[in-house]
Amino acid sequence: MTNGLRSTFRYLNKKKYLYLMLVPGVAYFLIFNYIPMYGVVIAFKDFNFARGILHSPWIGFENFKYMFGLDDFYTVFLNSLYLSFLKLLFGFPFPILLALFLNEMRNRTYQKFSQTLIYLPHFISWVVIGGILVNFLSPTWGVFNLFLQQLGIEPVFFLADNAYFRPLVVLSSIWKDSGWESIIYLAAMASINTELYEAASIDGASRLKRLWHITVPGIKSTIVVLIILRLGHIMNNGFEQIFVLQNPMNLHVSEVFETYAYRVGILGGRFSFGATVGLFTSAIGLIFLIASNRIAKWMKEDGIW
Amino acid sequence: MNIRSRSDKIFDAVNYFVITLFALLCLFPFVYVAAYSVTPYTDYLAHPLRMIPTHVEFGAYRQIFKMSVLWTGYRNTIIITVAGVALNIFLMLITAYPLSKTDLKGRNVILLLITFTMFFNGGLIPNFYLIRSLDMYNTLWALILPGALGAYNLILMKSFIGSIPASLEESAALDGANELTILARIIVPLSKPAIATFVIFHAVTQWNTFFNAIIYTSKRDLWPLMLIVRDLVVDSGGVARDVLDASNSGVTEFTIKMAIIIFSTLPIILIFPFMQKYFMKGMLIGSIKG
Amino acid sequence: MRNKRIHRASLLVSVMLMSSALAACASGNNNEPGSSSDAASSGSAAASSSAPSSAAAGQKDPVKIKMFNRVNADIVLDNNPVVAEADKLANVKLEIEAPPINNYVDKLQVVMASGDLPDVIYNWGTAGNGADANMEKWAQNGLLEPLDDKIANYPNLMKNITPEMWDAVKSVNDGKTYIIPRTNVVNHWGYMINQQWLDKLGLKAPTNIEEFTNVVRAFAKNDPDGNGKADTYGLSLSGPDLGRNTIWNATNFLTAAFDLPVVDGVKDTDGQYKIREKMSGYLPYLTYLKQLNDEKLIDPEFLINKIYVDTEKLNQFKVGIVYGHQSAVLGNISKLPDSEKIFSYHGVLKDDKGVASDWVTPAMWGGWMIPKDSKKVDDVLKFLDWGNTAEANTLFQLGVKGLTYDSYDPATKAVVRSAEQTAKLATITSPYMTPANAINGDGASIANADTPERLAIYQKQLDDALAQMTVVNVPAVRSPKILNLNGTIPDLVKKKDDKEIAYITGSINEQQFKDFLEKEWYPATADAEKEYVDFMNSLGK
Repeated sequence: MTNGLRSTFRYLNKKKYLYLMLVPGVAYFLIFNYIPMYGVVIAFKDFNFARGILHSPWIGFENFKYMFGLDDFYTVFLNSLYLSFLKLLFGFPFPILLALFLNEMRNRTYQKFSQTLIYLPHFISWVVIGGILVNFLSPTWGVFNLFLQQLGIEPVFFLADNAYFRPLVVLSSIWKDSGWESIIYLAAMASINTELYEAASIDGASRLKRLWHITVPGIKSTIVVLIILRLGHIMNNGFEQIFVLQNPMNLHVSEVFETYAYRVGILGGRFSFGATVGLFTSAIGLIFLIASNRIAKWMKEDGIW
Repeated sequence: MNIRSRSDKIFDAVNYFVITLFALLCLFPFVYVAAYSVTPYTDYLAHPLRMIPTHVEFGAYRQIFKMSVLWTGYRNTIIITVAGVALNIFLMLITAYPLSKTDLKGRNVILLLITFTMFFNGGLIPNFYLIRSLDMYNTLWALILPGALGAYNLILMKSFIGSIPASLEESAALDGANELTILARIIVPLSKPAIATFVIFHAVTQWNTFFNAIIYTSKRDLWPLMLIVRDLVVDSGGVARDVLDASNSGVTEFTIKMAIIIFSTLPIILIFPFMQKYFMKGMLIGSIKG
Repeated sequence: MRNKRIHRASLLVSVMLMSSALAACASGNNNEPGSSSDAASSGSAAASSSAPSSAAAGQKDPVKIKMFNRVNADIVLDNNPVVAEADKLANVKLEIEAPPINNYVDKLQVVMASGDLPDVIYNWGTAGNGADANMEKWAQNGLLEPLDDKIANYPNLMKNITPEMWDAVKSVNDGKTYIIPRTNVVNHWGYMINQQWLDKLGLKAPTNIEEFTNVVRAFAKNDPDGNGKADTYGLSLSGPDLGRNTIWNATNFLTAAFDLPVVDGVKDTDGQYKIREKMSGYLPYLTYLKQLNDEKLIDPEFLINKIYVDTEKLNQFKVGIVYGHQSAVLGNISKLPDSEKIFSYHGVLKDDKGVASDWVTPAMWGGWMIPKDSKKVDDVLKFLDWGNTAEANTLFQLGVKGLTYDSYDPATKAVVRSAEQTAKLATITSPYMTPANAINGDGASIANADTPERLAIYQKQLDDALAQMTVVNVPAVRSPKILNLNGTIPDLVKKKDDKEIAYITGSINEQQFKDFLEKEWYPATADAEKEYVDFMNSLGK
């Protein structure tokens, strides 16, 4: 036993700098993430404003039963999942493509210039972009419909039509964030050994071949990590974006968990119920994350841990 | 090396075309907002599609420059961005480096704990209590510390560091360097693209911060810029507009809103090209190390 | 090996959670914030605190009152001259916290849950009446001080706030008073119309539904803005909310033509009280909107416009009519200069008997709550009592003489101020700052009525409107079930909203809509309706 203890201490001493370096970060998480985490129990209580979280009466899974009994719940669940998958399917590859294209640009000035432009939409908040979008697509005074009218097409009430809402969300997401999301891939590409490229071109490989055989594998691990993290956020649909594009006519497809929890949980002061929804979506996200990490490991890729 | 085959040329053409198209698409709303911030309102009404203004009207900017609340917002946002980024990068580097060592005992547990925080958090009320208990309520620290270290980016940083060849560290260790020195002398310089990336990420996050300020501050002079912008730009409660320029019918609420948006987003955009320099540098360093 | 790792990991996780729970026990009870907020505010307090100490001899020290209010973004609260003046006049030291107006409810909920409440809290409430479901919940949770015993001691509170108003805010659960109404100017809801368009087309402002339809049709089809494009609509609405589609938001001007009040508490044409969906004018009103929509006379977005978007469309000359009260035209000057030359205000439409019903509810704009067991109850009440005087109302609405206006005549409400003074006014005060926004139903000033011409326009339009309308004073409906439908059956309420929209846009036909009402809505609201009817009958009206 003492042998085990001594070797542990020896190990700690050998790696002391590493452990010391971990202290601030871990302390940070403990203070700012774990101490408040007790608040999660609100989901199992009937929150009383005067008594606070800890002294509110315990009601177990009542909130959850209530949530699962709501008609709305299933619609919201479906909307959230559906939207996430669409964004993943179409929105995930786009930044990678963008990064690949940007990386291949020979004219550095033009590259820098276009890079700056592609990042622009990310900086303007959804409140503004959404506002502009709603305005643009309006059948009343929207520029886009004006344009359609010039072509002799009847104005379309995009945001009231359930069929258009999801594509709209996905496309606007792609447009707004692809440039931004491509940064990570560009950074990963920057660390690929240039000698590999030189060797390949000496061997006569075309640009396309070099792209496919060097660049893409070079960023593979980054891609995998990002997919895993993305799947972990499967229940996040981007609150701001949805909130600003929602209206009474598209609510059946536009209400997702985040907006639902905000409306009911915060505005309505129903902190317990809001926490219930939050807990549920977190649990789903965690399951997805663990599952995708497993799958990645099984595919012989580096997972998150 | 300079031989470009036909397929290369086509590749280039497609490449430039796609990027240019996308870039123009991205530029568009910005031009829209900027143009209408200097277009007299009457012109806008007459020609909502024409984006190049025929008469330029700076009245909106003159008016917003007089709003002291926007300037305090700027000051606050700059402080929390600079401090926030510095803290964030420091914490990320010293935490990600040990975690990138797959053989470190306890590493997996810590990673699990950290990942856990991505999903579960106590919600508004416990966080509110915490900030109050730490005496950070109504201070800028409440806008800097929470969120100074995020699990998501930490994991990414760890990945990056993990991809640095171990041989470099081993040779340094053989020369007698301890991990602190290795981190400072080897890892950090080689991680410049990653660091630049996360600097930008966190800078933008801090720049756009507003919700924390709502919950953790009660004094208006601590409000960050974006909070003020949202309050002024998003309609609610019928905000009374300053009618100083009532004689100037070119400037109305609409024009002012456009001007505020430009005023608040321009700086962060201008900083960007400077950060890009580090990407370029990073790529060069990559080639040298090979 | 794997199992052992998982076991170790989960052990560690549970230890972490446990320790965090224990830590929380310690910090959770730490609800006293100490002097943190005081320390932060001492900087600005120092500047304005020098004045009160030189107060008249014999007066006690000014009482510090922490106030949580809903104030627009333009107002600068630090070193605010109006607040300083209020401090002097009321012998208090006001410390105002006002979150961003768009997120006021978010912060309010957190503050109420935080265990550290300010001394006086403003609650706007859903639909503007502070005595909403939130207030009831806070009262039930024991957060609010019941005020019934105390308010009788305060003359201005009793004088300015009418018995109807006090009745309107009593808790539906225990009948106690937990909130002090903030009195408001009586709003005579009507409509705002583009007068220039009327003149151009040679039409008069409509007074009944037929004339209204003609005008709306003309606005939509006859190119009133003369730009050669068919891009205008007659009418638009705004402000959707749960349980209240845009078609119910201040649309008195139109529903009056159908004898359909937008508020509860009014008899139907047959002399009986019913829930709105059973009233005789309900279906005809919806059908009318459907027709307008089918003929493309109404803004296609009229069901989804967020609040104030309809006025924006009016100002961009896309629609010709929106809802508005008597101050709307002058108020609009802030958004569009010369509004008084372009738009005009008119009262509600007449029904088929020629009666234009102006349904007026007790005019309140949210209210003030005091935390339970507060040591400053009397001080706060004293302050609010002062707040309900003309002196306070004038201060908060007009500002400080010399700084934001040169002269003011209370009798005529004529104000003389320069452009700089107007600009200054916007940064130091607004109606959002008033403890009471009206004294005896009247405010000190009318927004933007800065010249005699404008004042005259306002007065004339108001007089004309009142001349043709019949005021109907609607009592406060304190029947809990019907007020709380949003809380008890939110899903069904949402469904009803959807069905109304579906019927108007034509997705479902009349029979399907009626089926929904009869099979689902009426049964679910039967209890609430009975309670409501009994309540109204018991009022003996």
